[in-house]
Formats: sequence, structure tokens, C-alpha cells
Amino acid sequence: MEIMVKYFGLESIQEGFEVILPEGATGKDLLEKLKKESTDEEKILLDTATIMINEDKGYPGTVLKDRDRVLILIPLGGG
Amino acid sequence: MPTGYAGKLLFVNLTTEEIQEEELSKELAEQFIGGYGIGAKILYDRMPAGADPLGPDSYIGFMTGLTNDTKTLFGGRYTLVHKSPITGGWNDANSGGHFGPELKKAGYDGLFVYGKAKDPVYLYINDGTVEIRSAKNLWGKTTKESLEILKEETGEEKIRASIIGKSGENQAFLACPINDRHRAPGRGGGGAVMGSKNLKAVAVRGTLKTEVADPDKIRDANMEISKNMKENKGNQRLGERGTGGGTPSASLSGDAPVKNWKGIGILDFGEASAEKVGSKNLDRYKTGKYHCNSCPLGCGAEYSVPDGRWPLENTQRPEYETSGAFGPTLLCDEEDVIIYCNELCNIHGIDTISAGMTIAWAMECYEEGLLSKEDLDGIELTWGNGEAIVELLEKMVQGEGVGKILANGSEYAANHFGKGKRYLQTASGIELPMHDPRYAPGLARTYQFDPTPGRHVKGGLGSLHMGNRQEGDKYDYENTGEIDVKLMVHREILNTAGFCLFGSGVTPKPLHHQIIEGITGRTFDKETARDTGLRIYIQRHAFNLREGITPRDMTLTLRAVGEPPQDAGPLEGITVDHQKLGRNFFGTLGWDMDSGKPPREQMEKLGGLERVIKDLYEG
Ligand code: SF4
Repeated sequence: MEIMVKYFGLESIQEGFEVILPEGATGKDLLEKLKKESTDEEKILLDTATIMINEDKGYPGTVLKDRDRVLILIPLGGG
Repeated sequence: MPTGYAGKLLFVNLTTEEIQEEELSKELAEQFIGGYGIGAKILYDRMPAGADPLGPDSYIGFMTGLTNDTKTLFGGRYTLVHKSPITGGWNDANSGGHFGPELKKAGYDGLFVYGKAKDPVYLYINDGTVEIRSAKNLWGKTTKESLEILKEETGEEKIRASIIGKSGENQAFLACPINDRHRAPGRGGGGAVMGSKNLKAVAVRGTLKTEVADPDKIRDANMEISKNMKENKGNQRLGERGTGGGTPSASLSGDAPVKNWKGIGILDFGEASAEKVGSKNLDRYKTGKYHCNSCPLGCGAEYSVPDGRWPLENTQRPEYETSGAFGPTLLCDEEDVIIYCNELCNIHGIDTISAGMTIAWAMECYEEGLLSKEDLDGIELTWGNGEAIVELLEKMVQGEGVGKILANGSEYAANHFGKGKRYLQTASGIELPMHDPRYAPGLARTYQFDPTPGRHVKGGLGSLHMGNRQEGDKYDYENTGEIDVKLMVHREILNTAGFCLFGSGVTPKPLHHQIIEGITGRTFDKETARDTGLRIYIQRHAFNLREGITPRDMTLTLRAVGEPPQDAGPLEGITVDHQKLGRNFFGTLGWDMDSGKPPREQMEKLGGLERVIKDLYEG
């Protein structure tokens, strides 16, 4: 299935992109896949991110559906 | 004289025009470091209890940080200290730019002003000479215009000044001075205190040099910081986009408040609006970078807006707090409104956070029919209405019509109109900043119980939660006291030493201690840091106790802690147990929450708090 992913706060890859995942994949599976393509620093940031799936909060166990839109919101951490 | 300091404090009585210098004692420097540490001690000792914050008896201090003028990276901040006309209690607010280091180079670790001048004046300090000069020609001028006049009048192109605008002249409670055109110790009403003294500005020029004990130690620390910066992309992003780069993410994640704290970013503001108010979008107006003194990062930016509704030639990028307060908090995604409101606040000297939040309160009152169009001088204050926001802010900064009331903050306005109290989003009367305790629950304790309430820059567990860097579940309220106290104490050191917090990510704690040792030449180990931080915290807290404010009197409005919780979005179902966080914190400190008294033995052991002990236990 195809998941639309968009990062906020990680400027180098802020534009939305598509990720292909097997049916039944969860929020955790998505994060693991994204981490494989990330630098060490980005991996840490992914662990701190708030995940929104469509308009709801996403959790590691949330089962994703085809065409879900996932926002990965990196915290500012102050400021 | 203690090493690493200018060695002198300056006292100016504007009523009698007496100017006095005092040696900075080694004891005071060691026990209270600098900034609001020394500031709290001096105000406690010299300012009468119960003084009207806007009366002649009140003091206002301009305090340098220990790291100022020592070549320490990120070491450029100064702090304004005074009693707040908003909360009626202790207030400190810090600012970057170049003013602090310049004051130290001019020969002073701090300046305290009290009394009241007959006519508008400014203080001119130049390498140890101090003059009280007429500011009649500056009165009514903006902060930017005033700076240019001061340069001309003193003949010093490199002068640095902390200046109030129209809001401070009006003694609006939300007023703050502005230094370096757009840097501000924004919170708590320091501009009103200056205005009440007829003090338009403090202008300084210095060429003296601060001697440090061990320059190599500082240089080595700086090298490590620079190395860390090269390896830290997050830090580089902050240098590129500033804090406003994080506004879109925060608007959607629940970190930034939306629609006066009742909205849900993803539903009420939306992705597209969130992106519009971030600096990735706003930076199309960027003309250059801005660095505070000794800052290798430069999170600020110069802007020029050539056309549109409010063209501005030389303006600056709104920071996260500002784009949050005028953006998602008001449901406004009009970028020119946010840039223009930032400029209005800077040139007239008013706190962007409290100003935006007060407008948010008025918007909700308007929506609920509590304030009418007539109450608001004919302004149709609907959510997201950019023109209305600008019109109302213009009235606030000028002190005209309803703006005169709102410029004293939302709580003052609620009392004035006798309605809308339930829509206030405040801690002990001051508007909350742009980080939501439902997202970072530790902030609930900091906002409610810190001696300077309602601040995201004060220490505690909230600082970890803001970045989601805690261990375990952040909504678990068991055993939070120890880490909360530990982080609070460390932050007291950073703040009083004048470090910019945006350097913390690349400056591990031992380096902070190494730098303090390099500057002062004395041992500054973990134990010294812990004792010093706690002493400073107690000194600020004691100021409030003496004003009759105990922890039980300190309030936090309920929406911010999820009472009731939101029914959708990233903060769905969250209620923060703020009272438990408070109990854990005070329990770890060993303080009685009802009286707020730190135990006598604790204070005796720390030392330097004899006056507080006397007042609390022998009074
Ligand atoms: S990081 Fe930003 S606020 Fe901090 S010192 Fe540098 S320019 Fe100033």
C-alpha cells in the first residue's frame, strides 16, 4: 500500500513523498523504514516526533491503510 | 575584585539624581553569579516590601551575565529585574543583542535605577562616566528612531541602548524595552517600570576589557562547542531558519496553542496555514542574518518587505513565540500581518507573547458575545482577521481607546470589563507562552510555580518534554520531583551566567562549568552548581514570599492543563496533574507548600540567605 508522508521541522526533506508498505503495516513499521534511510541524527529526531495519521494522533501500533497521510512533526524543543 | 567581572554595580536615584558606584563583592559574585542572581539579592535587600512596581520606591536592574564580554560563545545575554506590574511578584526577563556585553565593557556588572525623574531622561554610560540626560526630544519616538537620535547625540555610532517606545511611556503593563532594534527582555512589564520612572533609555558605550582567569579554558570550551555545531544539523537549521522554522510543526503537534488554547491545530488551523506562518515561507523577505554578541549561530534574520499592505524596509524575522502568538493562537495565517505585528511590537516596545495572547482572549470574548464591536472601538475581531488584529494592536501600542485597556494584559482587561475570566490563559495573571503543558506536561509546574511564572525559559522537566527527550512516559506523574529540581537548578546557572539557551544543545553541562571556571578562576563543580542554583532560586522565591505570594497563591488557568481535555487531535484526552507535579517538586526540595518556606537549615547550609532567614524565621 502507498502511504503519503510529510515531515515538518526537518527542512531538508520537507516536501511530501510516498512510501510503499505491505498491507497491515503499522506506524512503527513506517518509522523503521524511514529510519533506514536516515542519518543518525535524523533517527533520534524521528524518535522524538509526534505522528499524525490523517487527522488523528498516530501510535506505534496504529495499523495504516492505503493512501493514509502521515505527518511527522519534529519538535522545536523550545524557543 | 572578583575575577571575570567588571567589579562594580551602579545605582542611580532618579529623584535626587544621585549616582553611586559600589564595589561588587567577591561574596556576592560567588554566591549569586550574575544576571537575575545578583539582581534578586539586591532587590530583596534594598527595595521595600510591598512597593508599587510603578512607584518611585521600586527598583529596576539591568544585569549583565557572567559570560558577557569574556569571548564565551553564546554568552551575550543580559537580564532585566524588577517587580512585575502584571503578577505583582518577582520578574526577570532576558535579552540577547549586544547591550549586556557593552554595559560590562563600560565598567558595570549591573545598573539599578530607582526613584522617578521629573521629566523624561536617559542614562548615558560611557567607560565609567555616567550622566542623566534629558530625553524630552526622544519622548514619543519609536525605539528605532530613538536609537538613531542617541547615536547622533552622543556621537557614538557603536552605542547600545535599551529603550522604551510609546507603550512604556504609557506605562502599559505589557511594555518592554527593546535593545539592538529588535531584541527584548519582553516579559513582565519592565517597559512600564521604566516609563513610570520617566526613564526613556539606558545608552551605553564601553571599550574596557574584562579580565578572565584562564582564557585557555574558555577557548578550549569554545572549540568543542564549534565542533559540536558542525556535527549538529538541528543546530544548523536553527541558524538558517531561526526558531520560526519550528512554528508549522508546533502548530500541528499540539506544542503551540491554537485559537486561544481551545483549538486543535490539524483541524482548526490546518497544514497549509501552519506552513504559511513558518520562516521557510517568511524567509522570502530575508536580506541577511543576525547574530547576537558572541553568537556563532545567528538565529535572527533581517527582512525587507518591499510591497503589500504593510511595506517595511528594515525589519526582522518574527521568532517562534511571535509567529505562534500572532499565528495559530489567533488562527491567522496572513504572513504580512505576522511580520507587521512583530515590527509594531518592536518599535513601540511591547511583549509579543502577551500582546498576541491578549488579542486571543479578546477574540474569544467577541466570539462568545461578551465583548461587542462597540466595546472594541468598532473592530470586528473575528478569528484570523488580519486587518482587525493589526488595527487592535496599533491601538494597544499607542494606548488609544480599548487598546489602552488591552495593553495592560488580558487579566487587567477581564477585570476592567468584569467578564471573560474563563477565557484567560495565564499563570498568576501573566499570559502563557507558546508551549502547551498538555504537550510538555512538565511545563505546568514551571508555569505555575516558578517564582517568575508563565515562562518557558525557566528550568524543569518541561524543557525535556518540549523536545520529547524524556525517559519513559511524559504523562506519568510519579517521581517527577528529582529530575524537575535538577533541571531547574542547572537552568538557574545558565540564565544567570548569561548563556543563550539555543547554545545548550551543543554545549554539554560540563562545558558550562568549565567556562565558569575559566572566567572566574574558582572551582565550579557539580556541588557548587547545585548549591548556587538553589540559592538563586530561593532568593527569587523569597521576593514573592515577602510580597505575600506563596505557592498556594500561584495559579494556572485550566484549559492549559486539559481541564476539560480535548476530544480530538494530538492532545486528545490529556489532563495534566499540575498539582501533583507541584507537590513532587516542592516535596523533593523539602519545602512546605502552604507556607512556601524553605527550611531554615537548608538555607543556613547554602549560605548567603541570612536576610531571608531573618525575615522568614525571626520576623
Ligand atoms: S542563537 Fe539566536 S538568540 Fe541565541 S545568541 Fe545566537 S542569535 Fe542570539
